[in-house]
Amino acid sequence: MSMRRNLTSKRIIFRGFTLVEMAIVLVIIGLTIGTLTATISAQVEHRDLSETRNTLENIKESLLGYAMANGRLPCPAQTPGTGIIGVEYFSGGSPAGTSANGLCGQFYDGFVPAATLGLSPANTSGYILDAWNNPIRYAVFDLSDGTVSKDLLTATDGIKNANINGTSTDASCSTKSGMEFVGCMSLLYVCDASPTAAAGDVAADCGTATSLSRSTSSRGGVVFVVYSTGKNAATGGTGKDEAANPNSNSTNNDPVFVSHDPSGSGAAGGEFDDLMVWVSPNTIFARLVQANKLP
Amino acid sequence: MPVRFQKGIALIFLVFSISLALLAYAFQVSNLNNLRVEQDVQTLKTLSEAKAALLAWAVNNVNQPGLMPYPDRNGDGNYDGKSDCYTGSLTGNYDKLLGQLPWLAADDANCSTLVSGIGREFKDSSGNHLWYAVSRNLVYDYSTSAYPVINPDKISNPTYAWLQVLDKQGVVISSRVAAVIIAPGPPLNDQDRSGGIADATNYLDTFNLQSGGGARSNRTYSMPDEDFYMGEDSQGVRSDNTVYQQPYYFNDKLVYITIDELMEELEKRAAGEARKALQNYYLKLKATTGTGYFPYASALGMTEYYQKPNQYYGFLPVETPTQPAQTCAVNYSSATSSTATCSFANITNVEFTRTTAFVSTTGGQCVLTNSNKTCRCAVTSGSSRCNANVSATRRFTCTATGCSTTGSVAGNYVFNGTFSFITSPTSIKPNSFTGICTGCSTNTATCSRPSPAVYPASGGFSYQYTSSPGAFNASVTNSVLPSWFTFNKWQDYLFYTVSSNCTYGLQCDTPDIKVGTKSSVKALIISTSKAITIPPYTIKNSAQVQPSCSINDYLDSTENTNNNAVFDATNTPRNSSYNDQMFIVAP
Repeated sequence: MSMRRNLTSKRIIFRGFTLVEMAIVLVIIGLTIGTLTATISAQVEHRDLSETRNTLENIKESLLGYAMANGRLPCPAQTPGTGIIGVEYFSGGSPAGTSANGLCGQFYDGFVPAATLGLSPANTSGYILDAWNNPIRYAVFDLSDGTVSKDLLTATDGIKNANINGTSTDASCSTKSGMEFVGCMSLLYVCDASPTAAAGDVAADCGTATSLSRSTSSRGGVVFVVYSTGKNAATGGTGKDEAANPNSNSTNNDPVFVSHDPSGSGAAGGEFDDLMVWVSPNTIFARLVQANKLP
Repeated sequence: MPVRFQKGIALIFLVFSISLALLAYAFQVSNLNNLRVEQDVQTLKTLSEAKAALLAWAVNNVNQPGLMPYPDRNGDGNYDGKSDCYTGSLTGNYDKLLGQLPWLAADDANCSTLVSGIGREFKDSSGNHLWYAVSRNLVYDYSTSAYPVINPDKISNPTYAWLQVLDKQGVVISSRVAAVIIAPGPPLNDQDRSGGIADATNYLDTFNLQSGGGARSNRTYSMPDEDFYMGEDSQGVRSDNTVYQQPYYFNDKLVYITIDELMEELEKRAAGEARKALQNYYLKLKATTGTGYFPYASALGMTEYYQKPNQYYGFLPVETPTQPAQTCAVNYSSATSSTATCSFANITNVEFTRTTAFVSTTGGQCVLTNSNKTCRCAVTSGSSRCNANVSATRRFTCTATGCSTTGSVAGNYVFNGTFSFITSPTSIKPNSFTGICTGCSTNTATCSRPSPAVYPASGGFSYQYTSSPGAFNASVTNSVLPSWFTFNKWQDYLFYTVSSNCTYGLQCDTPDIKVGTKSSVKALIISTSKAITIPPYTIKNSAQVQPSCSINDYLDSTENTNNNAVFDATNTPRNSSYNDQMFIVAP
């Protein structure tokens, strides 16, 4: 009996953790790991965003550098396909596009011509990718000079010689020439929300939304935009705001784009996580003046 | 043994848990520090981009390059991203020049012109719009409806003193600040930014040094040369810091644009406009005459900017003379003579008009000397005689080749004009270019009282340049410069030289200007920028003075001033004693 008591006593002494103790420890470990995981996850997302923003800035600078060297912006690259197609894409119509006339194949729904710009790293098709491995998009305004079959922003010395013969049909700008003419004309719009009633509809300006480049909706003031369709590229792009920016789920093809802080699917404009940078005429003029390409 | 073993398990668990927790804590602290650094980097990057955008906006302003927008104040009840222009006098109201950086179009309250916005909304890493203060020298004056004159002379001789930026100790970093852009950072102490209409006090910061000297504040703007501070972030200042008065709250981050930075870009813009006009001139004349050529230059030191035949270097000839350019009216009933001061020194014609008949004839001829010019009509008979006896207008023109008249009215007629030159030009002949500056002083025309003294006449000098070479800055040659160019007198800061065989009547087939290693240049513009008035001097042994007849008062190297057709390369770096910028016009 006494031996049994001793055994019992020993059993009590040698007892391991109780379930409660183990649970507490596991909860602590779980909480710690959870916190770490959340932190790391946020870090990864932050890194992806930061990396993509840097990529967008680099592309913007490359495009400005290209303009300084060539007196023109490159045409956007065409929709991804096979082979090296991440080069600027001219129109195949009549007349066919060239660097002399600047007629592009896809002004608003194209991609960054990374191969043309010499940007790296690019994928096997010559596109530069965002942090989520999607090609980054680029749109340049389709600015025709009156009766001439020429696009001023993408043709060599197009800005310099804009409306030099006074052929523009835009009455308020027709007396101007060169960069003053281009600065007077309506260009791309970047709005803080989609101006259209339905997702993907064609828009002419910012409508009731705020233009982020000018205060009036009558004049857009952006030469080109560069944007990433964000983390949700594969499944998103269908909300009103994202659908305004051409993407794999929206064939929208107009000069009106949307940019604002990220929003969830419950927002008025739908889920939005596109990242966009744009360049005003002033910025590109300043660079071209520096490079003796203007006025 | 089993007991120790079980206790060891507990210890391992405990150590593991604590280690994990410490790791997580360290990771988070590290992240916080990294995040803080990253936020600062992001804010500085945003400030840098905002500075570039504002510079670009100013340089490319359509109406007045260099003009800056008014800030977006809460004067209209909100910060709507648009400029709030002030229509009163800015004297005593400099606070109207401090507000948020307008990023939408500058066409809000009281601004009369619609211009595009800067093009992007700039926020610091805390989500605050950037703040902005601008010098009075660079904003439109709505009280007088006047643009400010913006040219290189304003660097050293501004209408109002430039803003100043100082470091945390109060040492001046720059005293020629055109604009500052400030990231306000998160609210500190009792700053309250709710409601969207908070004033500068709730965004911008102030601090005091323990050594005294008064408040160092970014919140106020009360004088033209207001001070702004690049202070130290209070996150890095401990509470026992002995430099600053405690409590210390400061997290403004600031970048600034000096007038020198702005002017360097404006010089490129102005030179570019001149280059474009000259190129158009060449192309237009080539299309109309079959021969492309450039205009002659205007001589240095002149107050008028007319082409001077065979002048191959000088200023841009942005003016076309009209005749008569200067007149002096004579009232013989009340005065024996009358004088007029002419603002130009090169003279090709001396012209007088008699408006009443019955003037007796004395005859004579046009005598041209350096000190005294007398023009008399020599013809006394025949159909072109000067004797007139009817009431009519008759004009005498005295040129280097003699005296002539226009009109065919006969009658008795006399004209005596005595032209006294205070400082005579070395040449008054239109084709006698000597390469020496001829016009740095004004001349006085004196219309002497004739006899009998009853016949009024008017007359004066003129510099008549024939239209055959083609007027520059004129629509006929497709070379009109923007109105802001001459308003700001950019022609005073752009030296122009043309190859001697690329002017009127020549083929421009062997251009002789050399710029660095580039030869066969047809025409060149050199932006002279401001006069260099602080040693070391490279060309003159004293400060440059403008206007001047001497090229040494404008250009800054031996190569650019040695009176030949060879000039420095276009990429020659500038420094404190050399501020020339070369721009090849053609080819």
